[in-house]
Amino acid sequence: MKHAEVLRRLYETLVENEFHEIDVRFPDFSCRLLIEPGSGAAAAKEGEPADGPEDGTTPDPADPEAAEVVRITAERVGVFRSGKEQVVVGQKVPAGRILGIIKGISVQDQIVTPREGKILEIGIREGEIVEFGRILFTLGPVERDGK
Amino acid sequence: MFKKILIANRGEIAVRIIRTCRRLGVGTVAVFSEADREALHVRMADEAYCIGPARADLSYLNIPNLLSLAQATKCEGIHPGYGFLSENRNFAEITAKCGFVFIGPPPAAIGRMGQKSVARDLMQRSGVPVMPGSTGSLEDVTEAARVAREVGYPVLVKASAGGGGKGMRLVENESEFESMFNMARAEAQAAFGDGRVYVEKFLRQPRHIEIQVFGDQHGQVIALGERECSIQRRHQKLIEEAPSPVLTRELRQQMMETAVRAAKAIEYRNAGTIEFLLSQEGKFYFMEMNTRLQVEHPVTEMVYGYDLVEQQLRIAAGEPLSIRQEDVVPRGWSIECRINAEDVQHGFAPCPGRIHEYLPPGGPWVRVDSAAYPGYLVSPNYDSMVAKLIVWAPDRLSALDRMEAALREYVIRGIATTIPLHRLVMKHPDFRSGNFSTGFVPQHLDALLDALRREQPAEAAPAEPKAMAAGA
Repeated sequence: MKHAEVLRRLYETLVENEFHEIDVRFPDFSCRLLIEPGSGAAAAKEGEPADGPEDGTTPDPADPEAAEVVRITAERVGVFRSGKEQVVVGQKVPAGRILGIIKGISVQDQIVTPREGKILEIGIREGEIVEFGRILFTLGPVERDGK
Repeated sequence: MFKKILIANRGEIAVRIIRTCRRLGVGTVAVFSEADREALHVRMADEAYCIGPARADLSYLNIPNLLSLAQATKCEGIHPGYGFLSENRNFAEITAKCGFVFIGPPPAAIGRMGQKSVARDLMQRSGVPVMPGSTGSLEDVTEAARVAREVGYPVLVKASAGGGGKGMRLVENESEFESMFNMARAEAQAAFGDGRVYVEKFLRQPRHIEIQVFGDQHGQVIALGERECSIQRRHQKLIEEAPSPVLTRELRQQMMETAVRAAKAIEYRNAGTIEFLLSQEGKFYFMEMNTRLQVEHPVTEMVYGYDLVEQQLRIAAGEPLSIRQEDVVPRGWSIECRINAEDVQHGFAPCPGRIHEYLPPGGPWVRVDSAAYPGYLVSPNYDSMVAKLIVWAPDRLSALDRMEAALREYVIRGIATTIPLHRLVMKHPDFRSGNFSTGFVPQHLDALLDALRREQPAEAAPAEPKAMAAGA
């Protein structure tokens, strides 16, 4: 049921936008979604080629924790609006949580968590101009009990 | 006047626009791709924002991002520069619809001039001479021969679907017309799957002369003289000058009046350029209209004393033209060389790379429009022009000498440039005499390259052992 929920929220978020194709991979199953154009925010896994600016950090491939850090970068230019439910550093968020929107001239793009995690860093403030490639949020793994 | 504008461009033209804005107190918002993070226009603008990755279609051509940024930064207008979106009718239209001023002509003018046949018809109807020829394609050889006779030999038989010289035949006289016509048709059919051809007058050794025009929002149109752009290679201009060495006062007057009439006919506004081919007999024919600021606009600025970007901004802000046609008098001579990162010895192949030593020339009446600096990386993603070197002098030969000296002073190390070639052209007797045509480069290129080969090893050789010795 969890998968269905994530997919539904991904779909709802992106369907309003322009045509796009994404691969969704869960540990036990994967699929491809064909959606309407121009997703406003994209999740780039660290260590993978991303269009975001280099920040000089190189994840240690031997460290599974580092591999789980996700930087959410802006793929569209506009003004950031955090909405009613602002997240704070340290907060645990589920997959599909809307973190804010990038308001462009005729489009609004929602920034959505690609998976569950803990907010490690917030790189944007309410009302700020969002450049292409700006790191908006950094998402870390959720600590498990006993760790 | 505008409080703040967005400059939807990069490189020297973005820097050029920022300079005028600073002088006029207009705020500037620069945009850049991820490849241009260190660019000069980014440093010089009041604000600068990344709008996309290196690929131009995702950054400098990204209309939603450009307009979203213009809105977010509260810009009133958008200057498109040249290239990129400057002649994109759709962009001009959307810009206006979103409530920004497009600092350029009305979208309709861009659209009409962008279609060759529409532009030609419009010009013909407003009394602008166009290259004589058949109006459409010709099927029948007798009919085609009649058109050729009317137009006058020599004529070109050209493929309607064509390009690149395929399906094109030069016919010198009527006796060979039929066989040439049939050959052109067969070649067009083979090359494009379309055997339709048309007939056009062929000009021997023409010159490329263009007229700068300005129209304001109150119906005034003026012409700011001509630019001579005959020194070109494969339709890429290399050297431009103003005035032209061959235009008499009367011919200039006639061409300017024609250009003004053409611009008025299409209710043109802002800066535009009407390109003509000028025959050896002094007859001129409309080629096309460029509905934007031209790369070579500085030579006009130098001889007429007006800042063309300032005129663009004032017109776009609704001010009436302050230049009166009767005040438009050329003073002295100006020449521009386009310094490209190109290896002229290898077919002018683009030569991107890092400039590790950079020292631009100076002195009286020497102007460098460039976005380069020591350490600047010439990106393979965009065009290869590194700088425009512009000089002014009271007369043509002094301008050529000043240009030659400035080229000699110009140091750009790390990449190959067109500087050595320009130096040779400045000394070439045909160029100095003013007696040249668009055939100059094709005619003299081999000899010029030979001369370069003889000259360059001698210049380059001593530098290397010295560097090695210093390193040891």
